[in-house]
Amino acid sequence: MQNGAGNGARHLGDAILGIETSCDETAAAVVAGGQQVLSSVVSSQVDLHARYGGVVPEVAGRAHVERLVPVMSQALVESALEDSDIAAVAATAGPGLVGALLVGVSAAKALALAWDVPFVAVNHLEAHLHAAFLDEPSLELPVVVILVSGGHTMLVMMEDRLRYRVLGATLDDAAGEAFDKVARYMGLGYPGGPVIDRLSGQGDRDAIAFPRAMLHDGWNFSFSGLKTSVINHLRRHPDAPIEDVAASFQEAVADVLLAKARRAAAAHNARGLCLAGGVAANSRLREMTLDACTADGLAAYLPSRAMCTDNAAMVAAAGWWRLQADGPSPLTVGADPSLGLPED
Amino acid sequence: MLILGIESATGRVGCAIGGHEGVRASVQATRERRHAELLAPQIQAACAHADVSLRDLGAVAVDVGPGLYTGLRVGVTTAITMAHALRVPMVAVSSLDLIAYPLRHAGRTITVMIDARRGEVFHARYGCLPGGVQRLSDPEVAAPDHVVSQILASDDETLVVGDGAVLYASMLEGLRGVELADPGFAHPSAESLVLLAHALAMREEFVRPDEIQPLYLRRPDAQVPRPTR
Amino acid sequence: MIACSTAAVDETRALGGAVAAVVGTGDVVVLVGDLGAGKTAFVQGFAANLDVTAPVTSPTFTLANRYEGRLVVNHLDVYRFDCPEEVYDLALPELLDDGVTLVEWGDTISAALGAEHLSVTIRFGAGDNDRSFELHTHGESWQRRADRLSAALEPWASPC
Repeated sequence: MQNGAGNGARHLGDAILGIETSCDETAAAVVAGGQQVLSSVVSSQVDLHARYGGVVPEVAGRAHVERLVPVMSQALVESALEDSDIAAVAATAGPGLVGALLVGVSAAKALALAWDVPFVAVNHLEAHLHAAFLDEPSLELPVVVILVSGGHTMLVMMEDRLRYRVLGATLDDAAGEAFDKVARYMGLGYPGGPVIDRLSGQGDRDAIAFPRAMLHDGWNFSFSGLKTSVINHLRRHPDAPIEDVAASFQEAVADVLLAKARRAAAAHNARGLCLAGGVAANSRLREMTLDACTADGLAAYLPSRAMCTDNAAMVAAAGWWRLQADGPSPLTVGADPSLGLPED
Repeated sequence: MLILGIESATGRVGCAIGGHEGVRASVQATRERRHAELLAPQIQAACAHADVSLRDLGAVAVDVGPGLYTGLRVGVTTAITMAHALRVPMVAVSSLDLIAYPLRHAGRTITVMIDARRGEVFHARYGCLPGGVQRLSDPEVAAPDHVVSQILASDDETLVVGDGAVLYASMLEGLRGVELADPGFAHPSAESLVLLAHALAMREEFVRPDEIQPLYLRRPDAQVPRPTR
Repeated sequence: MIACSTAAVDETRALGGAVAAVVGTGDVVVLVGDLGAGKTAFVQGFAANLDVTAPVTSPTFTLANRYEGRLVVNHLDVYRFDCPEEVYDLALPELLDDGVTLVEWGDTISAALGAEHLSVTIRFGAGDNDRSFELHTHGESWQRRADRLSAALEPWASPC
């Protein structure tokens, strides 16, 4: 494997500009050889969307148009490379908000044409699977990846960089969505993840025994019932300490995620557990993952917050691997809002 | 100066390349919601037809709307990114101007109406000048009957054009002094964009890529009065 | 006004499906009800009856979901929108003309949704799973369909 991270060598012929606009972050990054992050710039729109209590697609699309060129320029400047050093341009083509994805895809194709370099369409979920490698070049496969974000919740058995299987996914709400919804009901604002995480630190996680849906049943998840139980509990006990409710809710989410991930690791002889996606920033989920790995003799891969949340370095990295394996994407590729993980 | 024109403000998407000698190549297609798939290959094809490299371009022109938001953003993003990468200036033209421009020899007032969905149109009025058109009113979004009242109140001989005019033809037909333009003129075209942009480029009416904003006309760049409740 | 009641989430889904039988492109259905009342279950049944095969979840994270079925189904959540101008941030005119649109918490912005719409109010009942529904038709096109709608909802009708 080419890997310039350890020795400082730069594979300039391998520098890829990555672009990510699938949701509410406008991001661009330059990554060499699929591994060495030369720059990674993220412009978050969270302030724009907070007043609406969620991501408004039209607002996101407008902001991406405004911000992408400056973000891209900054990524190039920080990489200390020239335009002519960029070997390919990769962009997230899905899944995500179609009007947001189109901005990144259009920009990447325009750059590929102007610079006469390949364009690579990247799957956002596949990009998340590559994020941990950027923090941990020595990550040993196979691993079970717990991919949890506002839009996605899945358990992935990753055998190789481009070879993996989705073991299970949520049948209704994504884990991050459950956090947002419970926070909304408790009047805690948006986004819900960080505030519930913070409150949980002061609460008793065993105070309320919220249900663990499908705990022993297959690899899929369901968080809609948990949300309803939290709401029913709050309706019956309006004076319940919100710290306890938050902590008990968070515990139920993390419990189900970890229980299934551990079973999956045992069943498939994985060497470790790896977190990915925005919810991977949750402190209790990280703590429980570490404990589980220690107990089960597994390696724990907990990427930094910057690598868990949406960023373009992971897009550039996944793009580099895809380019080696499949060659450039045709310029006729569009945005696919419901793109699934390619499995083989 | 060679100019690449990108137009995707309505259901159509296309591009053209041309200069002082006129349009050298143009590609256009009508496939709503497929703008992003079509545009980049169209640019490649136009370059091949015109036998030019993108590096030969002196400017990139773009239709900045008003129109359908998603398609509009595909064209605007492509244009500003390309101009930035090629380090060339840009020319921004409104879709309303583009529809009026081919009728510059009409010799009367032109009202352009673009379908804005949900019973509204984007519209503006133009006067004919030697070699071009001059906008007489700012682009606005309004109900078509409001536009009809404006036309009647102006008492001008008026040619009405655009897909909004086609859609609301029944409200316009038979009005005194009002004529509907041929539906062939109903959409903005990349060819008109290149011709108009070339004229503007000769006057050095350039903008930088970071100054370009799509003309949405509905919030946040328009103030909508709050209805009384 | 049409009054209905359900005693299980699956019944709420079926009721949503029955409403879908009388809609067409350009229609707007406004859903009002507290979190957990069953608005998403209603939309799930509604979308399923329009041959949407993708899983329908609530648009809590992204406030607008779009599904392709026999018709395009737009599912919007505007609970925090508190003035009519803000609906322009949803590109509402383009969305509405494109398919049938369900708007959760839509009463706050009903002024911007136009005169023609069906409003569905969901309330909690005595038991954890009991729900009562009130459907109001607004505008001429919905008025014309009121009888068909009543007939479709007969299985869940509750005495007024």
